[in-house]
Amino acid sequence: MSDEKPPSTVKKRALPAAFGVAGIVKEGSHIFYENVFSSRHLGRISDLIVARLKDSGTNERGMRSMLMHSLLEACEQQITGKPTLLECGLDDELFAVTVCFQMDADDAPNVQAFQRKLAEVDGQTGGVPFEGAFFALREHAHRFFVRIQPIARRFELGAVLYFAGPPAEGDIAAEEIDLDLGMRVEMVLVPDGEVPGKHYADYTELGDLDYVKLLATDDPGNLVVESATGELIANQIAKSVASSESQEEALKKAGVSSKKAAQLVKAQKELEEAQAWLKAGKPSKEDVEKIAGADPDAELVAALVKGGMAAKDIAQKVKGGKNTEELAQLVKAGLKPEEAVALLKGGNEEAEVAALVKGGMTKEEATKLVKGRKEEQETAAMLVKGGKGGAAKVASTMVRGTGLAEDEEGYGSGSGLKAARPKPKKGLLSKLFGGSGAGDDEDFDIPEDQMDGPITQKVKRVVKVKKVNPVTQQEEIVEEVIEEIVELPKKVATPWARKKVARAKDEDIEDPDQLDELEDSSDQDGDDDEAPVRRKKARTGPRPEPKAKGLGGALENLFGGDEEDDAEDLDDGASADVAGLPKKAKRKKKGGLLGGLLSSDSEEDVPEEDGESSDSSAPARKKKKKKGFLAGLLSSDDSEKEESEEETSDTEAKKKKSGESDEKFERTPAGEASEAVRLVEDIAEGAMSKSLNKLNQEAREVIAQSKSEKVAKWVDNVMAEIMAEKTRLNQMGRQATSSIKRKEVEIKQAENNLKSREAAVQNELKSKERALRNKDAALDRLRLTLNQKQSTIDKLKTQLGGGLGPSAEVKQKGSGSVEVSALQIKLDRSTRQLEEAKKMSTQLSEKVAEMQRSGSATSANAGELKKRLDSATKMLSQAKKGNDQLGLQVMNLQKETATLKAEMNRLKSENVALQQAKGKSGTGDGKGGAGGTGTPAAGGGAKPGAAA
Amino acid sequence: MDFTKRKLPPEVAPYLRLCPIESVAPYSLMVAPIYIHLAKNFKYLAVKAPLDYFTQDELVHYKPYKSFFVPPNADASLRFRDAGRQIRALLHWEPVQAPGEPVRLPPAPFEISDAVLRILGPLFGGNGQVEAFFVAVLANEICDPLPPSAISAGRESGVLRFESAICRSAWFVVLAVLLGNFELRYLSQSRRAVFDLGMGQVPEADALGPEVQELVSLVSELKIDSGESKVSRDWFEAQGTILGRKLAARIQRSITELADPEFEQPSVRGEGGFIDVG
Repeated sequence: MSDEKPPSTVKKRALPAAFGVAGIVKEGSHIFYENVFSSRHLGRISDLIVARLKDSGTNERGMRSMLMHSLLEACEQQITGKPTLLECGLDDELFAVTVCFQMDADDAPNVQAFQRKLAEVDGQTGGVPFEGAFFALREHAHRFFVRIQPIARRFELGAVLYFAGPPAEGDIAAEEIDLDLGMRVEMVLVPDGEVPGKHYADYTELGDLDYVKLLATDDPGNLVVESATGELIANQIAKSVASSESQEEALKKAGVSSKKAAQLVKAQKELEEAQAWLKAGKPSKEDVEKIAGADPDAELVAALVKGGMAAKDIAQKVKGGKNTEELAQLVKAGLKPEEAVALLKGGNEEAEVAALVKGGMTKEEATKLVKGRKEEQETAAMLVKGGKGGAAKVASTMVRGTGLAEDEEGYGSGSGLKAARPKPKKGLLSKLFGGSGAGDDEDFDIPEDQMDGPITQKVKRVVKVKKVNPVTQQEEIVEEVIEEIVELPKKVATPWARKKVARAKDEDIEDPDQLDELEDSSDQDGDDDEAPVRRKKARTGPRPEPKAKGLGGALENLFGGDEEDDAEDLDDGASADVAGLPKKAKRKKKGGLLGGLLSSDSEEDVPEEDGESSDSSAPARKKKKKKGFLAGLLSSDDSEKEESEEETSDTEAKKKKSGESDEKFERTPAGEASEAVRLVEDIAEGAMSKSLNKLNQEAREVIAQSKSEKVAKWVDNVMAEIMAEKTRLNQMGRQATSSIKRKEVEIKQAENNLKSREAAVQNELKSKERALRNKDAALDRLRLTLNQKQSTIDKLKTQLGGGLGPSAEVKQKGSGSVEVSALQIKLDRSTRQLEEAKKMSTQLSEKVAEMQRSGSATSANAGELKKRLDSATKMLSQAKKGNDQLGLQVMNLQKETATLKAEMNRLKSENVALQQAKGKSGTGDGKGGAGGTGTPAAGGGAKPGAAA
Repeated sequence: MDFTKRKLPPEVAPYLRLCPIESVAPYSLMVAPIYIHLAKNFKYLAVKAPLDYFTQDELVHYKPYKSFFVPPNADASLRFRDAGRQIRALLHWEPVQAPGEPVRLPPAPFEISDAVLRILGPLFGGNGQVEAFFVAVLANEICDPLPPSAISAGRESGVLRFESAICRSAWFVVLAVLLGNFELRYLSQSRRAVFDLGMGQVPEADALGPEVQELVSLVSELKIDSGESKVSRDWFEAQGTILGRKLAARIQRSITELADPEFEQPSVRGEGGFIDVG
C-alpha cells in the first residue's frame, strides 16, 4: 500500500519509548481502548470502533484489517489469562492501532534477534517474530512497529494508516528491520520500569461509547437490504409490466379484441393482487374496494367483509358482470346479457330462477335450488364469521357440496372450525377411539357419534375451552387422552370396582349396558371404597316390608336388630348388584330346601345346572349343599367347626377371586384363636348372613308350599335355633376377638417391659464399665505414684548409705528393706488384682458388646452378668482399699524418710562438729587450755544427747 | 482498624444488627466492629475491629455467645458489598441458551465494562470519591478471598501495614476493573500479588505483569495508610499519566451520568462511621 501512492507531505513522527497510541497521534486526540482476554468478540469490538470512526474518513477495510490482525496476533502470543490492551486513536493525519501483551519466557522472541536483523544486510530472511501479522497488515497500513520491554517480556505491535498516503521520512527515525518484500518494521526498546509519560489525549473505554446506538445505526446489513429492495421492486415492476404486455399481445393474437384482452389482463392482475392480499389474511374493506373497483356495492361489501368472505370472492361477487368468462357462458346458454349480469351480480333470485327455467327446469325446482343456494351461502357466511379469509373460502366450498377443502391452511377459530376443516382421515385418534374414518393425525376431528364417553367429552371441552387450533394442539390433546385411557384401567381396578366387575363377569352378565354401568360407576368411584355402601343405600332406599309374616317377619326383625347390619348391607349390596348367585341358588333349591336342610345327604336334591357355572365358588357351594348347612349347624361342635371352616374357605376363595388380600389374616397371629377370628370375620363379612338370608327365603317358600302349621312351626323353631346359634357364635367371636386383643396388649406390654429391662441392664452395664475404667485409671495413677515413691525411697536409701555411719546404715538398711519388701509384695498383689479386674472388665465389656449386637439378651444372662459385675466391683473396691492403704503406708514411709533424712543431716552435722572438736582438742592440748573456753560451750551447746 | 467505641451500652441494643456466629467464616475480613453481648455486665464488648478477622479457634471460643452484634453503621458497607457481589456475578455470567431460541451471544467486553460502571458509578457519589475502607469491602466481594495464611501472617507482621496492604490491593482491583480487566482469576492473582507487595514480600513470578506494575505504581501513590482516605477523580486526573487519565475519564462518566443524587457518600469517620470525630 505504501508503494501505491506517492509520498505525502506528512512526515513520520518519532515513536515514543512508551506503550500505547499516545505520542503517535497528536495531543488532544481521541484514543479508544479495551482490554481483552481472548479472541472472542474481536469482531464486535472492531464493529464498534469502525462504527465510531466511520465519519473520520478512514478506510473501513484498513481499520478492520489493522484491528483484527494485530489483535489476533496478540491474542495468540499472550500469556493465557493476562489482558491484551488494545488502543486505537486518530487525529487529522492518521489512524493508529497498538496491541500490547506479555509473552511467556519460553515463547518470547529474542530481542537480540531484532537487533541482529538490523545488522544484516540486503534483507536476508531468517524469520522475524510477528512478521506474519505485519505481512497481513502491509496492504492496509503505512507504518509498522514493535515496541519491546525486554525484561518484562512486554511487546506491542503497532500499525499506522496515514490518510494522505505513505508519509515522508521524518527527522527522527527508529531502528528499522527489513522484512521480505521490502517491508520495514520499526523497533523501539522501552526501558524497563518506564511509566508512560504525560500525554494529553482523551481516553475512552469502549464501554463508555453509546454502543447500542452506534451498532444499531451502523448495521451494514440495513444498507444492503435497502438498496437491494429498491432494485428488486424495480425489477419486479418491470417484469410484471412486461408480462402483462406479452399476455395482452398473446390474447390479441388469439383473436380477442384489444379491449377485451386488456380487460382480461387487468382481471388477471387483480386476481393476483387478490391472492396476495389473501395471503396476508382477512382483507379490509379498502382492500375489497380496491379489487372490486371504484364504485362497489358498499353495503354488500361491508356485509361480506363482516362475514369474513375472501377478498377475491367478494370482488367477484360485487363486480358481477365483469367476470367475462361466466358471462359469456351464460349468454351462450341462452340468457340475455342483462339477465346474465343480474345473475352474476347475485341477489336477484328471480333472474336466477328464470335462467334455470330457461335451462329446462321447472319453476319449483329452480326456486328451490336458488333458495337452497342462498341458504348455503348464508350458512357459509355464518360459519366463517370471525374466521379468516381462507376459512371462509373453504367453508363456502364445503357447504356447496364439494366436500374438499381448497385451502387447508386457513383454519379459523370458533364455530367455523368444523366446516373449514378438510374431510378427516383415519388417524391416531380414530384408532384410539375405534372410529371408522374420523380423526387424522394432522387433524383433530372426532365424529359426533363417538363423542359420548368421558374422554371424548373432555376432548370436546379442551377444544371448546381452549379454542385452540387443533392442528397445533393435537399432540398435546392426544397425549392427554392417552393418559386418560391408560388411567382408566387403574380407576376400574380399585378394590371395590374390581370386585364388582369381577363378580359381574363371573355371574355372566350378558347385558353390556349393565356391565358398562358397573364400569362407569367404578370409574366414578375412584378409590373411595365406602362409595358402594353409600350408593347401595341410596339405590336400595328403605328396606322393603316383609311380605310374609311369621317366620319371615321374625327373621327380618332379627336381622334388622343385628349389630352387623351395615356389614350385611355392604355385602348384600354387592350380591344384589351381581344378582347372579341368588338366581342359581333359587333354581337349585327348587327341588326342596327342607329336604336339603333336614337330610345330611342332599346331593341328589341338588341338580347340576347344565354345567353352565364356571364360577370357582360353585364347588364350595356344592360341597356345602352336600353336607347340609342346617344339619351341620345342628350337629356336634366338630361339625360346627367344619362348617365354619367351609365358610371360611368359601370366603377366601371369593377374596382370592376378587384379588383382595386379607390383611386381617396377615395381622392376626396364627394360633388358638385364629379359627374364632376367622369365624367372626366371616360373620362380619356377611358370608353367614348371606346363607341365613338364603335359608330364610327358602324357609318362607317351604312354609308357603307346605300350608301345614306343624311344618311352619317346626321351621320357625329351627330358624329360631339357627339365629340363636348365630348370636352365640357372634358373641363367641367377639369374646375371642377381645381376648386376642387383650393378649396382644399383654404381649406388647411384656415386650415393652422386656425392652425397658434390657435398656436398664444395658445402662447399668455401661455405668459399671465406666466405673471400672475410672478405677483402672485410678489404679494406674496409684501405681505410678508408688513407683515414684519407690524410686524416692531408693534414692534416699542410697543417700543414707553414703551419709550415715556404719551402725546407722545397717539399722536403716535393715528396717527399710523389710518395709520395702513388704510394700513390694503388697504392690505386686494389688497389681495382680488390678490385672484380674482389668481382665474381668474386658470380658464384661465384650459381653456387653455381644449383648448389644444381638439385642436380645435374656434376663438370666443379665442377672449373671450383674452378679459378676458386682463381684468385680467388690474386688475392685477391695483393691482400691488396699491401694489406698498402700498409699497411706507410702505416705507414712515418706514422712519417716523425711524425718530420717533430717536426722541424718543432723547427725552429719554433729559428726562434723565432733570431728572438728576432736581436731581442736588434739591441737588444744598441745597449745594449752585456751581452747577450753569456747568449744565446750559449742560442744555442750551442740546437742548433748546427740550421742545417745 | 481503629474505632472508637470498645463497649456499647445496653441502650443501643435495638439498633444493633445480629449476626449468628455460625454464619461467620474464619479469616473473612470484618466490615465493622464486632461486639458480643455480656449478659452479666449488661453491655456489648467489641471483640474485633473492622478489617480484622476471626480464626477458627476464636469462632469456637465465641460460640457459646451464639451471636455477634454489629453496629448500625455497618449498613453503609452493605451497598459496596452488594455491588461487589453483583460485579462478581456479572463477570461469571453466561447467557442461558434455551433450546429453540435464537442464539444469545455472551456479552462483549465493552458491554461488561458498561455494566460494571453502571454498578460502580453510583458508589463514587456526586464528587467522584470513595473511602479506601469501602473499596476494601467491595474488592473483597469481587475477588476470591485471600488465603488464611497470607492474612494471618500479614496481620501478625503489623496491623497498620496489613490494613494498608488490604486497602491498596482493593484499590488495585477496583481500578483494574474500571480499566476493563474482567477476568476474575487475573484479578484475584493480581490482588494477591499487590497484597504481598504491600506486606513487603516478593510476589510470585509473573503475578505482577507489566500492566499491573503501572497500576501498582499508581496505587502506591494513594494515601491510604490510615484506611480512611478518599480518592477522587481529580486525584487521578492530577497524576497526568495515561492510566490516571483513563481512570479519571471513567469516573467522570460515573459522576455525570450514573451518580445517584440520593446516595450519601459513607465515611468511617463521624456520625455514620465508627470513628468519632471531635
